[in-house]
Amino acid sequence: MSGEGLRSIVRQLPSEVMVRIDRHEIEGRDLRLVIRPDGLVPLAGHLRKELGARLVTLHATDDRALEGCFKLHLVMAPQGMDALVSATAPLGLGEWRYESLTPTINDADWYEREIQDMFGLVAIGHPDPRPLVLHEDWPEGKYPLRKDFLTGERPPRVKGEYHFTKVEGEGVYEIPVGPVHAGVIEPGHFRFSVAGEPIINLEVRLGYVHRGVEKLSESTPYPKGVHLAERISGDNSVAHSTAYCQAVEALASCQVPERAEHIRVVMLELERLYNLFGDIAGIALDTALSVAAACGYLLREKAMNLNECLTGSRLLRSVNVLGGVRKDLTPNDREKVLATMVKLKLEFDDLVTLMLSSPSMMDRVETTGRLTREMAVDLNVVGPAARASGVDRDVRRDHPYAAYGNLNFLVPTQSGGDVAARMRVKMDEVRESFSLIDQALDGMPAGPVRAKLGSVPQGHAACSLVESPRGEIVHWIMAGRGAPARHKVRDASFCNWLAMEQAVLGNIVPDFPLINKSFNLSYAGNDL
Amino acid sequence: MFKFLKLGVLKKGVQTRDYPRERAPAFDAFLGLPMVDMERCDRCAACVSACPVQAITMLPAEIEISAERCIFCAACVEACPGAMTMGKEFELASLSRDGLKVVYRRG
Repeated sequence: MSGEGLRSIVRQLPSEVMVRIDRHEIEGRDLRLVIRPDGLVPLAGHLRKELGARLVTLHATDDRALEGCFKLHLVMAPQGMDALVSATAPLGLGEWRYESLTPTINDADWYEREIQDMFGLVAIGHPDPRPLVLHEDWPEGKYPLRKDFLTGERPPRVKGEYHFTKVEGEGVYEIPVGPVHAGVIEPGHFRFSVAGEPIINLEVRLGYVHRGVEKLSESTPYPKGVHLAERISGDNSVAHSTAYCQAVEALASCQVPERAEHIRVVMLELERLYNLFGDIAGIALDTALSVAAACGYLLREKAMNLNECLTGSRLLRSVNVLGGVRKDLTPNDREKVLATMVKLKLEFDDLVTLMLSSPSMMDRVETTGRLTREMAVDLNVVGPAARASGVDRDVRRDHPYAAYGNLNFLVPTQSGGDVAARMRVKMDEVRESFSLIDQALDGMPAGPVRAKLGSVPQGHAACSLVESPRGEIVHWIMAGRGAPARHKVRDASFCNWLAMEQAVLGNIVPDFPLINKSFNLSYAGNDL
Repeated sequence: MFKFLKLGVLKKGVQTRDYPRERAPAFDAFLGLPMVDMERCDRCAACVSACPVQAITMLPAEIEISAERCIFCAACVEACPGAMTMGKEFELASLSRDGLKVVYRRG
């Protein structure tokens, strides 16, 4: 069915795009195009306007060794189809500029700034060409993801300056916050411009935990890459390692046993549970509803204890291996999960009743930090934050992976877009997770839990999407010799930070921690 | 208004353990520092090449595992289920860097 759908996409491409396409092929659920760089903008514009396609990733590869040029890769997902449209655009020989997509599809903004920092390719016409990932002490002319930049190279620090967006006027002042914060959280700088209490502009400056994951991955053999993927964003280990494994398995044409796919679902949902418990408790904590916060953190602790009992790791590390999962679930484990779920469900219901019936709490969260639906679509917000603004998207349903295709679940949405809506979506998702774990355990067939991974042919690329607790994550891998030649990771937070800049506008500064907590974004996942 | 009194949220009792006075035994599946059974080890160094963080060093007569580098991923046990196991010990803190090295000798 998707094959026919993809063919009709090709047929409907406007002539200005068609004449610039050198090759197109349909591979499974993917439409792959090789296009001239000047065709990217009309292609993206057409896919967005006619098919409601959202941007999955936009990144570059350095193919100068073999083909003498850089290549741009654009992946978009047409609405309502379980399919991806990937376009590869080789830039000309020695060319380092291309036409910016941001004026056409706004969500390309950060991707293009990232490409500029990491590859030195400049998007002409980008509205905000400041550096994004690299900080002011990084020397000019050093581009970390180019192949001639060696892993482990430490360029000298230079003096530089970063220019924040200036907001000026009578009574307007700036509040700089971070990168070191009061709590034990990750580093990030927030620059507020305020007039009195209400925020009139917020600029988020990240990149303090940039570890060079994508570069490291290029020298990490596939089996070891799983451990690297687990550590991209600490509390999303299973989501990232599943995405990595799925991409490599797709490259090697390896069929994961059904039992392993069910175990992956159980683990992915256990991860979602403890993350969502933490998020809900955090919202209660920031509204000073201490009893609820304590109950929420207790639930999270119990969930993490279950994780440790099942896998030996509270954060569910070392669950996935290429071709399946490391450890089978014994009947004993199954009983343990079911018994714990029964207890957690009851306690969670009490917690929800307490939170939703507490006027002091509801007064604080309702209408706070509103993100409109238009804004959420425009910025390509993902995950619970998008669903709270009425954007009905979930990778588990729209692009089923692992065993999700066989399971029944609802995708909860809300229309408010405020902190209360995000809280309610998360509460509903917890209930869906309980049901998914039950179903996955019930429907789990007997059999092996891992398949042998064959050889990974060089030069091919695979893209894998997973719904992490924070939303859609993407791993795009181009195979090299025993390790990825290029590994592009896009965490959910990379999409959602810009949404937070919008959601806080007009709110008072004391509500910022609450809004921040309701998104609960990852710094490490964004910085990579 | 006092509806929450009827909920189970206030009657939690003591939820913590009097650790370290009361011991906290690790789960069976727990992933602690790898242990080497030197009787079964044939020094093939499969664990050394499987380790993603170079935490295992093959010395002339012994094997050294560094708790400083180990990420408790169990890749070594995957590579050598015969001689390697993941330990249950979690109290690995030390006052010196040398104290973080565990050395296995034959006999």
